[in-house]
Amino acid sequence: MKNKIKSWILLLVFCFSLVPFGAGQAGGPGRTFAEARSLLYLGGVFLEDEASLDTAVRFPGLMAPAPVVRQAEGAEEILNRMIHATKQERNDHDANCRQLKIQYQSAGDQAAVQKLTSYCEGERQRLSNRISFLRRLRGGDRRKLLTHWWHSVKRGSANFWRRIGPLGRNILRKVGDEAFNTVASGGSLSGEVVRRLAKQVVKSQAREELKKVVYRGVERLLRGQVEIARAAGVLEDDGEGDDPQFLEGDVDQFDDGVLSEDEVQESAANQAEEEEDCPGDSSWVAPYWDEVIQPQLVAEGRICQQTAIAIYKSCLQDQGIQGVCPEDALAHCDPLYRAIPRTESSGTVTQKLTVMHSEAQNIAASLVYNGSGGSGVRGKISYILQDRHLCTIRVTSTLSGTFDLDTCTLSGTAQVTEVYEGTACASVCSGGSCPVTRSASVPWQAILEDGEISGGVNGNGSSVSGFGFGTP
Amino acid sequence: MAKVEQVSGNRKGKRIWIPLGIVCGGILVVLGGIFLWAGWQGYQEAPKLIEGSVPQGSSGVGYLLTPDQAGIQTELGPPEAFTLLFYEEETVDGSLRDVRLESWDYYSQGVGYTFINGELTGEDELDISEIGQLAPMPYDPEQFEAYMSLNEVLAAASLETYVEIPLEKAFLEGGDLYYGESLTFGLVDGELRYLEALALIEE
Repeated sequence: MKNKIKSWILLLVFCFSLVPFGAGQAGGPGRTFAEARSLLYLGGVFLEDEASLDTAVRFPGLMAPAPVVRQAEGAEEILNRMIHATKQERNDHDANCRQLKIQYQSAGDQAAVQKLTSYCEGERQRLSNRISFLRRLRGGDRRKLLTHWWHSVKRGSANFWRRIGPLGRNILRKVGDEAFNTVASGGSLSGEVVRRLAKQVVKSQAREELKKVVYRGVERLLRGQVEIARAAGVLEDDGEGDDPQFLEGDVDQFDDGVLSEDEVQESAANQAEEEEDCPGDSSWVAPYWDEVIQPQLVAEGRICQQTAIAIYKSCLQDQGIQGVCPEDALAHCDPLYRAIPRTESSGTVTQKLTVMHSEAQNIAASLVYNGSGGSGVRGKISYILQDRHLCTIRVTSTLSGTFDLDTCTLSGTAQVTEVYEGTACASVCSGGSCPVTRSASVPWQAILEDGEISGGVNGNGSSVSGFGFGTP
Repeated sequence: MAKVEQVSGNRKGKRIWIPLGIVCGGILVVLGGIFLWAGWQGYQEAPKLIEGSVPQGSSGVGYLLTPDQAGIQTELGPPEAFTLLFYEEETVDGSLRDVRLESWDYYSQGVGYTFINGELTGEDELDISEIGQLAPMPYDPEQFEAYMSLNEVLAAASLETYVEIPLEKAFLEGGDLYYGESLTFGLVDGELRYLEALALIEE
């Protein structure tokens, strides 16, 4: 009897030891900047219209007859938007890291560069891991069998409640649309009042603003970390002055050696001479940008590097606001100008692509264009769609068009052929008439942004369906 | 005799069916329970539209503008759009300090300001030519403070209708995103960490 009591007490003690008292009390801030930053990016992405997302939902309709996936609509849309937000976050993170690195190197602060490098690499890895995990979830939820099963049951049951319960009917199918409607109207305005988001109207400006806010947050965070590391004696300052070799190497990874900063500085100096006095504000930046820098960027094939350009422009504006003369401002921001990568070589560029559809398989896609712009853009995209109803669609398309270097857009006409196979393609193969072949000539458009292509073939108003594509 | 055996056989058959029925019924009840429980979990994790919410709780004490912010507000009025981020940073002595990172946008004047803990840290030109007629902004930055609860935010913003999007664990564990009129905000573990008051153009 005594042994029995002892056994029970031991079991009880063991069970208590399993309770995670004090879990999550790790060192460092619990409420991190990274969490707030991720929310900031995601908050904006849900208000973007679907057309601006680099996902399968850009041109709906290809796999339209699939009413069973109602619950998945909302869930998949959320995953798409999370991936999009994380990609934006990672792009801006990279740009901010580049800018800060140049800033610290210019100041000869190698200790800060050291801290920055480890922070940047860690954050980049974290964001990349997040993207690949979210992609895996979107591409068929390859979680462990039990987890997968549990999620299927939850989905099925939630669908059941949606049909019969008033609570369930609040579950959203199109999350972005509802979020936008709620923001624009609060659910209280009549349909006669039309409201648009100012952020959407001034899109590029809003993106630039977002980057600057995040940049300032990161700058402060790193300054704090460097101070802490120095106080703890972890970082050693290695003397005053630049490390020119290191700086050159860092900048030159984006540069092919033909630099134009001398010309830019010369023009600025001339302008400053003409003005006799310093303007003392940033009023000179906008006209100087339009007249000198913008054409220069186009001429040098750097114009499609929007993020790096925005950082450079922001540097000039900051200098202007601080009352720095144009000559000095241009000299100060010159490393950032040199860091703007040349996207385009003057020769032929072949870009591998992927199709933005979670059910696309056997994708073979590429686009060939001339780096200095003009006609002669050509491409081929082929893939197979196999939905859960065993409907197989083989899609092949041949693209031709032009590359407008001023706007970084590629556009033209695509000859799209779809072959529907399998009797389950109910909307097309009714009466067992499969295989059915559909073919049409439709427009396509893509944008080259920061060296990455994203675009789509627009099937609206034609017998074929559209699809999105982009750099993998 | 044969009749008696038949009756006894029928009874035996009934005896088997009763426990079998109870077991099957039990299994069905358990499966049904799992299904309903899963549905409730699915509902909790699904994006939803909440209507007719009556926020319970106070709207918090609010935030006091710093001299930098008050100066700008006196000159230009309340911001036409603003963003707030709340987080902690580590100090040299190892303690944690709250950070309030905010940006105020004045589209009409073409200028944006960034503040960190109320101190002006950046001024940016907003290169906007024609933005049109802006709807009145129903919120001020002072209404919101760090780590407010959902109820406090709803009360501060007087929101009755909003969209709630629980976030995938892989994106941000414990994170929820919300959209209300002219407003989006995010909570982590029930604490306000991000808020953006959005300018709207009326047509």
